[in-house]
Amino acid sequence: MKKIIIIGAGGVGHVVAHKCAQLAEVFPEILLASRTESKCVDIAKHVKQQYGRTIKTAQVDADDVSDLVRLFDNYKPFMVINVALPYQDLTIMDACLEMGVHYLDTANYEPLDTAKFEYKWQWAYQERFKQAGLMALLGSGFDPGATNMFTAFAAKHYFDEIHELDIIDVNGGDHGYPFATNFNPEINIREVTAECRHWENDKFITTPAMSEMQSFTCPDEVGTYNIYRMYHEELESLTKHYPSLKKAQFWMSFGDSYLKHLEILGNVGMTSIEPVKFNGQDIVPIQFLKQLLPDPASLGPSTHGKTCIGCWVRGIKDGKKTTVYIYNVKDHQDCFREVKSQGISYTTGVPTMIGAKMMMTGVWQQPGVWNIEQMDPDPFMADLNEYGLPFQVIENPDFKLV
Amino acid sequence: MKKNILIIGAGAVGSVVAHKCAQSSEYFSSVYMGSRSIDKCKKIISSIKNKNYPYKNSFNIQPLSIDAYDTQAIVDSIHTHNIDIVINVCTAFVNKSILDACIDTGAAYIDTAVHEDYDVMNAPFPWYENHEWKKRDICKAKGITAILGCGFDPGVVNAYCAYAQEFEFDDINSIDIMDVNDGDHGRFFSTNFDPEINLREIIEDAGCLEDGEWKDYPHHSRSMAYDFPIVGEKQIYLMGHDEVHSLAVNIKGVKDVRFWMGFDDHYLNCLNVFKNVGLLNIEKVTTADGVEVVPLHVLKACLPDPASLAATYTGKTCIATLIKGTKDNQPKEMIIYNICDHEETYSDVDSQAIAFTAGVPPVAAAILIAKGDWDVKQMKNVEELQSKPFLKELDKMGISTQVTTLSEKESELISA
Repeated sequence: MKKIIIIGAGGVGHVVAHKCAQLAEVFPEILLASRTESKCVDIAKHVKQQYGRTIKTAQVDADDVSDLVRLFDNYKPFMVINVALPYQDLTIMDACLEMGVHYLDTANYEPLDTAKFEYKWQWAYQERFKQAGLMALLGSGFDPGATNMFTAFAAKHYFDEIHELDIIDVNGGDHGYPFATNFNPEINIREVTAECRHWENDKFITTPAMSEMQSFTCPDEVGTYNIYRMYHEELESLTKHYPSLKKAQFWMSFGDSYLKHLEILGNVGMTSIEPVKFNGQDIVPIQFLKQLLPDPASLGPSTHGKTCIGCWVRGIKDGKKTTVYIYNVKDHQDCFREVKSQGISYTTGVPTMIGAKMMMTGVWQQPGVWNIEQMDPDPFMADLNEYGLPFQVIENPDFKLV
Repeated sequence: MKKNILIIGAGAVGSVVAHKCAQSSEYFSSVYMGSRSIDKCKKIISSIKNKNYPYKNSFNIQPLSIDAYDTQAIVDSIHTHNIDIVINVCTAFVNKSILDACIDTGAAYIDTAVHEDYDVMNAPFPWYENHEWKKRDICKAKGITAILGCGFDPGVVNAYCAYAQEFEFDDINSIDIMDVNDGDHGRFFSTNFDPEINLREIIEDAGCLEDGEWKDYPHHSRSMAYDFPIVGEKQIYLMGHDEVHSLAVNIKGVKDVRFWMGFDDHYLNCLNVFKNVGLLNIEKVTTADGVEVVPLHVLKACLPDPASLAATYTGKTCIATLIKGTKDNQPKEMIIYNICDHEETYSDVDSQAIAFTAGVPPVAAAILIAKGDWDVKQMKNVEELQSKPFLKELDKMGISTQVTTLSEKESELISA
């Protein structure tokens, strides 16, 4: 029986554990591991209540290859799902090579000291995985992940050649707090302060953070939101694997209040990682702020509204220009009802499970390091419909976007 | 006879007090700059030395380490150094302990703000009666001079009201104290004095006297635009402030006493964000490392030290008192105000105008005690004292007073 290890017991780990547990025939044995085992135990308890299935738990330090090797050696998994921190991708990949375990993740490696998303670190493992007969599937969340699949699906069925791509990620959810972050505030803050890069005429163009903004009306009455152009890691792999792309951009929605809070807190130093002293106590402002803000995992019950994430693709079919928009709309409350999680974790965790299912069942099984768009999108897209994130296609949408 | 002074509090205002004492060496002989942090005291003293003020004979200024919460320690210092006058410009949480030490030793007492209990937000009205005024009888019995609320507001604005009552009006009906800072410190966000005191006071309920009755409004719930002399039109917001209480009691027949402070939209946005995320809370939280901290203290540690703003501060403050009433059976309205320039105060005493306007008046009061005009041997709020010598002394020290009688049109108050 093929066994699977999930590393990471945050919001996404919670969803992945639940979704895998729903599919006993694909995932007969599951172990959930994290630095803090008690978080795994809480998730396992909830899985037991909901589905009557027992999943094992373990403590592991994902920064430490030898500790990972010890865990893999004890449990002997077929593959590992990495939903820990992006800093830990390489140690987990190293352990996979050492122990002959297939690998899947949702976010590309970042060195701890430089906030730079780049695939080069992981692409460098290509030969080693190939020679070991192991598969590493990179970026199997929603974005990257489902968005790469939307692009590949569009390219396969609707175009002879794709020329322009806009990935648009709208979170129309309202958690009812004046300010809260959907995941780690430190990463949220880095996201909106990082320089933007987009692909245009065979190269990446850098523009100031949050300098390009427009209004986007989502389909299916999700609403109209301000979307900001920013860099996102799938732009790197998609422009590499679709060299016909002349332009590729990523857009994300941010509310005015969210941005105002971040701007002010950032400017007064409350998001700094440098400790400040008060009455002889050393306090790291960002960590303290995190303490004051609602726990992202606690937002599930109060978050209402929908996410709408999709790809708007333009290109040529039979010599004629054509456009298509492929997207998913997901209701936060539906997610909460199903797995007691808000939509952001849900939309990431479901494609993670589907990617793992493809590998476990051998539908995708190819030694080497692969970005998800290099795989056949059809079975993945069919499973999105099956497992909670149905997609829609609008041909020739009436978008007026930059 | 020259007096020995103990200044308690080595913040931005304490620095102004010390500089002005050094400029007034004809009235003072030994000045002790006291604080929990002796380093801050030494820094102020070295700034004073660099100024090379011409000292009259036998003036000296020295640093003193002192815990302002410890009455006995203050009593001991007063005895050891033969202190005649204590100027309390420390945090408002320590008024009681310092006042008690003065009552115990016979030293004169001057402060600039009403006592606050650390754990109490929205201190119940009547504010001065909660603590200070309970000591009026004992001050009188023991002949202690205690001058309460002698900064600018409260302080100088109270003297404006006393002046108006004595010289300009038969009856005063309404008093609106309006405090605006048209300066620019060049920082994203900063308070102009202790962030802890400042951020607390501006999110407290706005208490005021209206139609002869005490009323409370939610903070920032009432505002109006007012066209100030020199600095122009500003949006000002109703706030609770110490002097509203004492003036409501001491200005006979007054029906309305309100305090307004100017805030721009950026300041209010920041304030709302701090409030929304819980950074203004004064209840301790436990961090992931198990350390107990007060959110407001963490914010304070992140914000600029108000004393550090002075060097680059530009622009002016305007603190005005609009008084309406009658004179010779005719309605009369007048505005009494001061304009203070941040750059000028920096060149005088290395401080910005807000610290300057708060720190000069207690020194003027100490001079008047030394001269005898205000050596009243009892507890008084500023409006109960002679206003003219005070305003005259302030004028010599860099705080001038403008008095303008308003025609009907000019005085129109646009309430929102």
